Amino acid sequence: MRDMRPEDVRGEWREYHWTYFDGTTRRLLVTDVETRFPTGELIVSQTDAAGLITMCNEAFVHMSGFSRSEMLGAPHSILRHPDMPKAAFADLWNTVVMGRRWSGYVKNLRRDGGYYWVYATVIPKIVDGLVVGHTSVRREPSRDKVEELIDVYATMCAEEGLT
Amino acid sequence: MTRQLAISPDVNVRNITDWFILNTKVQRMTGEAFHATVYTDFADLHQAYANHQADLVFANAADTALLVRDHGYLPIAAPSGVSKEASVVVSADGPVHTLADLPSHLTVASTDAPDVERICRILLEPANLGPADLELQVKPNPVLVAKAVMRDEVQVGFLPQDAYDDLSAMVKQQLRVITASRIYVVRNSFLASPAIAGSIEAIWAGLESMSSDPEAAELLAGLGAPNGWERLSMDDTRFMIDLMDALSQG
Repeated sequence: MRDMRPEDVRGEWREYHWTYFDGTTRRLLVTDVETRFPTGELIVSQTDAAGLITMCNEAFVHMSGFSRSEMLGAPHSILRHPDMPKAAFADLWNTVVMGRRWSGYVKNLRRDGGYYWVYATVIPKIVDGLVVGHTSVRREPSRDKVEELIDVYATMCAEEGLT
Repeated sequence: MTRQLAISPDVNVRNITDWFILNTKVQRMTGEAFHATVYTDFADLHQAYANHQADLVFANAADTALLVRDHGYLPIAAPSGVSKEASVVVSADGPVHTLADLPSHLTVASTDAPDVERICRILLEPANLGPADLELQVKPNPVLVAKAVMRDEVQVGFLPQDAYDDLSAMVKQQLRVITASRIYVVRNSFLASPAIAGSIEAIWAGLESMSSDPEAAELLAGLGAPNGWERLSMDDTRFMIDLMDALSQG
């Protein structure tokens, strides 16, 4: 994944050198600018078995700040925000590899360094008994839940040594 | 052998005639006898599915998931550029103006259309309202949902967007839309039972021909496909099924 560049970022940023589960690294530039989830809309995307994005809707393009061409073929982890604990994604992955749905609150990273909260549901895409990818649907989260989870995730990240 | 065209309760009553016209056209497309049956509630329609009495149906997204996954139905077509949306309404005279004004327990009027109910339940989630917080009263049609809200028999109503748009100005004045979906990817599908799998191409050819026939414009509008039909692949259908699964609150 390409490093984030200061010229793409809106607002004051903090810098992270992030290492993903596969050992690849990326320079992240993160701001405190939130984009609120558009009421009544859904963000929808699909990935292949390797986690690369194969389909995304207009709401995804709008909320992520990436163009459709930038999204297609990119790993879904391009949206991973450093404030999200590793344990949450481990839980997601461990659930969906067993062919079950996972739901949870996620803080996503935008192309411009900002963030947006979602309530995400990920389900395996099964064809002829094989998991060939995943469908992810994100909807507007409860603000009360988000406020609650900001502290919970911060504690988890601290315990994981991320902050 | 006579085949069955099931007319779903989703269909606006004033468009029933258009579906009987389509039934006649389907008979010409396939060379087979089709009998059209109007279903006024989803329980009866689902019974027809179970009894193999619905060979052709214009199914909502929730029923599409049920039919394709559990009954082996095959996709034919979907209306081009038409999505299924829904609104949550309250009485215009009441104190509720936004989702944040809703109490923690709600009485709700809805028809038994499963896709509309699923969408509207999701619209209420940001207000911390989950399945256990809603007490649902099923009404036979959207007009009676609107009346139940206007008469304060319930606190909110779930309405398909097209049904809300069709309400008279006088009724709309007595309602307030507090949230509405803009999902764009949920839509109805024209499906065939496995028993008529051999007729799918003939039916698609007929639907495609209708889409390019200027004289069919009024009929297409009545059928809910004002921009014509587009071919629906199994991949598209699987996506719809995954989407509806993801939207269920189970």
